[in-house]
This record gives sequence, structure tokens and C-alpha cells, in this order.
Amino acid sequence: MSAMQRQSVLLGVLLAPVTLFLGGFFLLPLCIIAVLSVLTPGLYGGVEWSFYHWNHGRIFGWADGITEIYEPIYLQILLRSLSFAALTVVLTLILCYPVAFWVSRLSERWRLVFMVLITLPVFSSLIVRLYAWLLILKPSGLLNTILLSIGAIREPLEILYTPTAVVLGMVYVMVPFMFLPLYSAVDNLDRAQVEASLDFGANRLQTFLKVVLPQTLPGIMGGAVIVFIPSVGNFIVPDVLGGAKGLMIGNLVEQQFLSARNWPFGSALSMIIMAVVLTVLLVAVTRARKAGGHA
Amino acid sequence: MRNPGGWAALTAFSLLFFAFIYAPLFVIIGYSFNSNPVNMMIWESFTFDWAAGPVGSHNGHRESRRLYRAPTRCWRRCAPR
Repeated sequence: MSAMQRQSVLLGVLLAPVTLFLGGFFLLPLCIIAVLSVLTPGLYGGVEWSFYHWNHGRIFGWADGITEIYEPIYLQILLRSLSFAALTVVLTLILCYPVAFWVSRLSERWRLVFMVLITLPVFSSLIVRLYAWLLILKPSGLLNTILLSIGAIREPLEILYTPTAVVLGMVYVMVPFMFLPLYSAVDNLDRAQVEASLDFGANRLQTFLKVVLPQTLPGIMGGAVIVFIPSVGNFIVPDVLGGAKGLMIGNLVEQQFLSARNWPFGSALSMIIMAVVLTVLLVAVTRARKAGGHA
Repeated sequence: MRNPGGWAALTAFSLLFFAFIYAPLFVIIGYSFNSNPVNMMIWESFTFDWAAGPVGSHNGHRESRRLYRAPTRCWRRCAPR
């Protein structure tokens, strides 16, 4: 066996586990979902093995009104999920960007302390943290008690079971995932370049737009993608904090699989989430690459 | 930092940010001492019972008895006569 051959065999052996793993635990389930989404839903759950395009028709509008009924509500809920997720990205970014700067300017020891403080809540249960928001936001909860007692409001605020509560909850859950990529970008910021920009007459806004922003853009994009993807399909936060008006597409998928037992329709819905996320991801990556090329 | 006022504002914002992160956790810690066995949202009185359970004292029997008894007691007391 020549050295070249030996190398390629070695490469194959090294790559085999990860290929098998991804194939078995990522690609295969994905294919199952894709196939399920074009099968006939069984009368009592499960599927019948025949082609059935009404699952998608119900969502996009070519349902005939007899076999399945087209409901624009599904697209509206998808749109709402996208806007909630986008809002979550923007809000976490606004919250985390200044804090990332602040933490990066602290002494070594305090930086470590605050990094741990950011990541610590992730180790506690998601449900528990959301129930805490339930305690805070409910009409007789802590927030309303405090605001009423200091006289800021006359009547208790109705925040719980509104879209506001859902976005608030998602922002709260996603903050660490925005912070960490952002922090690594901000921490690697070339301070000499910032100083130079300020010394050579650029004002603060110009320095921010021309020096700081382009250098931290990879962190922003990374954080935005990591926050956006779980936010679109999130169903736990709207389940706990959102009422009927806070329903998101993740809840629909959950309902179709667990309550309605219409697996094909649930699969069709999740295929749509995946398609949307993939599109957003591709746009984001190509934009970031283009922006990176300019900088 | 060239601008001390800006730094102070940034510090205030960051500390508020951490308050936002930790407020719900402290709420949960506070309410973990709530003795109400039925609804954790309604404050009844202070208790260490829930902390004692996982540590292994009285083997959780007391909690289950409380869980069973509390609604019954309420039923007797609250039911219209």
C-alpha cells in the first residue's frame, strides 16, 4: 500500500464515525420528516403510505375545501413567529452590545465573574425560569405590586398572556446566546484602531460606524443566527407565557404531533420552519461574507 | 475610557441588565420557601420543607402527606354548609 493510499484509508476511518453519526441522527430524521409531510394522515393518528399534498395545501392555499380546508391562519402564525424571533434578536442585541463592552473593559477577575454570571442561569431549568416570569408578570404579581405601591400605575398591567410576555420571555431565555459570540467579537476589538480613529478627527459616531461596527459584525451575525433559529420554532415560552394571541408555529407543530395526532401536517409545518430558517441563514451568511470582504 | 460619564451610564445599564437576568432566579429562590403545597404562586407561609426533601430528611413522607391533606382540609373548611 502506498503512502497516498494509506492516507486516504486513514482519512476514511477518521471521517466514518462523524459521517455515520450525522447521517443517522441528523440526516435520517430530517428525511423521515420530509417523507412524512407528503403522506396521508391516518384516521386515528399515524400515517397511510400514499402521497398526499394537501398537508402543504392547507398551509399555502391550494386545498380544495373538501379534503382539507385552507386556513390563512397558519401563514399568519408563521409570520408572527418570524416577527417575534426578529424582535428577540434585535432586543437581545440592544441589551447585550453595551454590556459586552462593559464586561470587556473590566479587570481580568471581574470579567471572569460576570462571564460566569451570564452563563449561570442557563444551568437552571428553562421551565423554572419561565414560571418565575409568571410570578412576576401576573396581574397580582411582583411587578404590578411594586408599580402599584409606588403609584406609577393605577390599574395592574395586563402583560401576562400577551405577545409582549412571549417576546420578553424569549429575550430572557436567549440573552446568554447573544452575549457570548458578541463578547468574543468585542473582546477582540483592536483598541489601537479605535484610538487612532478618534485621534485623527473622526467623531464618536463615525468611529462606531466605521471601526467598531465592522469589527464586531461577525459576533453580531453569529449571535443573531444562534438566537433567531431557536426563537422561530420555540414553543415552551409561548406555552407558558403566551395566551391565544402568543401562539407560535412551534406550538402548532407540538399540537399536531401530541394532541391532534396529525403527524403529516405537523411535519409539513416543521418543513416550512426549516425552509424559512435555511433561507434566513443563507442570506445572513452571504451578507456577512460580503460585508466582511468590504471591511 | 475617555468619558467618565459615559462609563458610569454603561455601568448602570450593565448592572440593570444583570438585575434583569437574576430577578426571576431570586424570585424562584424566594418562593421555594413557600409552604403552599398546591399552588406555588400563592404565598402561604415560610417553610424549609421543600429543601429538606431532597436532602433526605423524613424521606419525603411529610410532603406527600401535606399534598394529600391540604386540599382535603381546604375542602372541609371552604365548603358551603
